Formats: sequence, structure tokens, C-alpha cells
Amino acid sequence: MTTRRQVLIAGMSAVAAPAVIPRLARAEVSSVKIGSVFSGTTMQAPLLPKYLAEAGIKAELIDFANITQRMQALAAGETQVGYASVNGAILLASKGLDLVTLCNGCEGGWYLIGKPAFKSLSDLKGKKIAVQPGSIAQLGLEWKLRDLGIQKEVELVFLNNNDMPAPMRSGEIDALHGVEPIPTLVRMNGWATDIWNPYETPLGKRNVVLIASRSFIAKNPETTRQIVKAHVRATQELQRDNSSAAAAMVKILNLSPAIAAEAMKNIFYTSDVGGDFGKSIVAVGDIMQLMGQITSKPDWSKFVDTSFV
Amino acid sequence: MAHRHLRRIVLGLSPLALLLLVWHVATVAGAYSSVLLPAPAAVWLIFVDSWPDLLRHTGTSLVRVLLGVGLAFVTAVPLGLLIGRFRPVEETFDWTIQIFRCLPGIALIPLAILFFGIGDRPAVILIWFSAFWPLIITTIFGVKNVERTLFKVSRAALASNLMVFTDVIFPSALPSILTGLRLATGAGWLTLVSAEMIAVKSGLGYMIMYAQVMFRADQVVAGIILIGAVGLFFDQSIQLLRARLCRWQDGLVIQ
Repeated sequence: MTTRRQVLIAGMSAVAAPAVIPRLARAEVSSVKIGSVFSGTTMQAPLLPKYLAEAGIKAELIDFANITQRMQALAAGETQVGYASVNGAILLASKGLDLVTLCNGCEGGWYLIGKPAFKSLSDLKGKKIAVQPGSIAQLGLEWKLRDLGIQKEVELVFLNNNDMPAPMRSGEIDALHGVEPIPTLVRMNGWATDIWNPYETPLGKRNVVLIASRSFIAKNPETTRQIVKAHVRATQELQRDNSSAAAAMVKILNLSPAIAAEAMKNIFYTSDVGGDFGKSIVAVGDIMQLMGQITSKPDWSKFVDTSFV
Repeated sequence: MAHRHLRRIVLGLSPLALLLLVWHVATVAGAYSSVLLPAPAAVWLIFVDSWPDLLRHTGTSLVRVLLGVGLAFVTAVPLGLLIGRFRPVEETFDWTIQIFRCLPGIALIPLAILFFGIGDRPAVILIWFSAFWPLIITTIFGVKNVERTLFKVSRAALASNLMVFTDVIFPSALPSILTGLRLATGAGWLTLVSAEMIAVKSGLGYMIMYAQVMFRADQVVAGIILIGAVGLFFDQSIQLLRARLCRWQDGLVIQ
């Protein structure tokens, strides 16, 4: 005999099942570790926990000292998702790591400035240009110097981005190809002037992308979708008003608000994966191979997956 | 004697052989991606294929470490002798030493660039900085442990202050100073990687740093092995020097 209670329980189960069963079947992670490096180009990262919390996902933001450590943590599985320079991600993927580019992150963010006596890159023959090793800025600069045929005549001095202002001020280097806000800081202090717009190479403004490991995506497709969604919302927030990013730069890097605001003009937050996004990533890979940074290219069809956007 | 020497080599190499075995098993088992942990064979290939580069980097680093540690020796030992011998000097410098000896070289990179620019200068200065503290502390310790009887005898013999320093204090403190030199050399090699991050284009530290950026774990490990090997060579050389210079200690202390 069927009781009224049994009917009630069966009815409630039928209503709740579509919501509960997929969640149980998925058994996806409820917390993620996001790897980032504090810089003007990764300012979506601090906003992600807020948006992911709305989707019931706990996010822990881990700031690494440099891009290499961030990528190694991702490769080692210590972080599940992260912001990476596209060349760093290609480098690791070319070595067989199952990284996937999920979305565009930020474009631009670097500039080449130098002593006022120099008006163009060609003037820097026999001179020293500081650049952060392994950065997209180094890749673009090396390509351009090679294109101009002066690659061997210009000395690239490897320095961490934040270590560049002091030698520029003292004149030990002739120019720097740095990531914001360093070029703006140096320019606005009057220690250097603009020499080269670096966005004229085949790299364009391509810079930061959102990446995750393929195994994480396979096990957690819904969480991945929520992460990408949070990234898109964070990007839209910064596109509407980037004052929070500028304020963070002021606070953490002890910059003047004017320098931070000016630096933001050279940083282009975007989650746009339309148009030639995929092609431009392949172009980065081509340049990396040309410059001897990679010997083989990743499988592009697996490396770029923008279906979550 | 030969048997003892052989035993020393076998015992000394056994933990390293074990480590090599664990490393090999870990890579064969696929515990880590080869991008993160290369196989021993891959690292061996770096030594085979790139030995001219490795030699060049090692030579450059050797020069920097020798300069840095050498500078530390000629500055720390005289100051340590004075601090150990004269109480007012000790009272003047003690707190400063205790504060500065705790500072890691890598934290000083921005200041090194500010004051010494880029290139070799700040690199050598950072190595000097790391090597200075163990040397000065062991020198002070060595002076403080000189037997009082020796002072009394030299005073009774009307020896001048200079003679007390050269004939009594320095020889007595020498074992401690040479122990300090061992520690200082180790500290110098430890600081090398940080020091060679400052806009230099050669050296094992630079090689490791750049290989890390390019995710060449095989080169990173090759650099680490080289630093370890050269560090061991330095340590053994100083031990030999100590055995020769401090022969008077034979039989007085446990060897």
C-alpha cells in the first residue's frame, strides 16, 4: 500500500533530481587554486574569487614571484588554472604538457623606452637594452632586432622588470623594454622617452591568456565553464572601470596615482577570442620557433579551446 | 692508508649513488613530467653535448666566487681579529654583525643594483656579502678561544701587540678561520644564482636562471650538479690546506 508520505517523497525527489544528480555524477571540485603574478596585466585575478563565490566555487589566489614559478606550479598540478603569458604557455605545451588556452586575458602592457638621444631601434646599435628574460617583450624585441638585422649589435641585458628603473636612471642601460607600470614610471620621471611601439610585430598585442590543464578541464568541465565566466565578468568590470586595478598598483607598488592611471592606458583587458585570436597564437608559436625558443609546436587544435567562453 | 682512502670514497659516494637511483626510478616510473624532472640520462647528455658552454659558465662563476670570497677573507679576517681581541671594538660591531648576517643575498639585489649598478660588480659584492659573515664570526670565535696562558707568556716575554697578533692570535685562530673559509665558500656558491641574476650573461647562476625561464630542467639540473661538484672541490681543497697549515693540531683534537 502506498502511503501519502511515500508519494510526497517520490514527488520531491523527482523535482530535485535534475539539479542533484548531475552534480553528484560530476563530483567536480568545489575549490580551485588560481596562479597569478602581480602585474598590471593580470588584474582580473584578484576579482575572480568574488565571481566564483557566486557560483559556489571557493577560489584561492596564489601570487607567484615570477611567471616561471607560476607556470611550474601549474605544470606540477599545484594550481589548476592561471594567467600566463602566451609564449610561456606555448613553451610548456611544446614540451608535452597538457595545457589548454581557455580565453584571452590581456593584450599589450609593455613598451620600449630609452635615453632621449635615441629616436628609433636602429639608433640602439651597440647599446644595452634591458628586458625580462622569457617574457613576451623579449620575444617581440628579438624578432624586431632580427628583422632590422641588428640582433647581434644590440646587447640585451636580462633584468627583472622591477629592477629596471635604477640602471635606467643611472644610465647603465640605454633603453628598457619593460612591462607596465615600469615604462610609464620611468617615462614620467623623465629618465627615458618612447623609442619603439612594440605592437607592430606579428605578435601584435598578444600577451596574457587564461590557461588550465587538460586533465583538470576533462574532470571539471562545469567548474572550468564557471572559471571562464568569472574571468569574462572580471574583464568586463575592468573594461568598464579600471580604477580598482590602478588603485592596487598604487597600493602594492607604491606608485603615484597619476603614474598608475597613465600605465593603465597601455594595458588592454580583453576576453575576446573572436577574429584572429587562434591565428595570432599560432603566429606567436611560429616566432618562437624562428627565434629558437621551441623546437616543435604544440598541437594547436588541443592547445586552444575557447568553447567555454 | 689506501684502504682508508678507498673506504672514504665509497662511503662518501654512497648517498649520492642512492639519490641517483631514486631519481632514475622516479623518472622511469613517470612520477613527474620530464619537463619538471628530467631523467639522469637527459642531464648526462647536457654534459656531453654542451661541455664547452658548461666550462665557460663554470669558469666565469669560479672567478666571481673567488673574487667575492677572497674579498671577504681580506676584510673579515682582520676585522674579526680586532673584534675578538679588543672588547670596545666588539661592543661597537656586535649588533651590526648580528643584524646583517641574517640578511639573505637575494633580498639585497635591488640595493646592489642601486649602489653598484649591473653586471659583475653587484654579483661579486653579493658573494662577498654572503661570505663575509661566516668568516668574521668564526674568526672572532677563534680569537676568543686562544688559551690565556699564551697571552700571559707573550706578555711576560714583552711581545709587542703586533707580535701577539702575528705569532700568537693568528696561528691559534687559524683552524677556526679556515673553518670559516669553508662556510664562506659554501655561502658564496649559495649566493651565486641570485648574484648572477643581475644582468650578467654568463656563469652557472645565469645558466640556471635562464634555463628555468625556458623550462629546460635538464640544464637546470646540470647547473646544480656543477655547482655542487665545484663546491665539493673547494671544500676538499680548503680541508687539505687546513690539514697542512694546522699540522700542529695533530693529536690535540679529534680528526
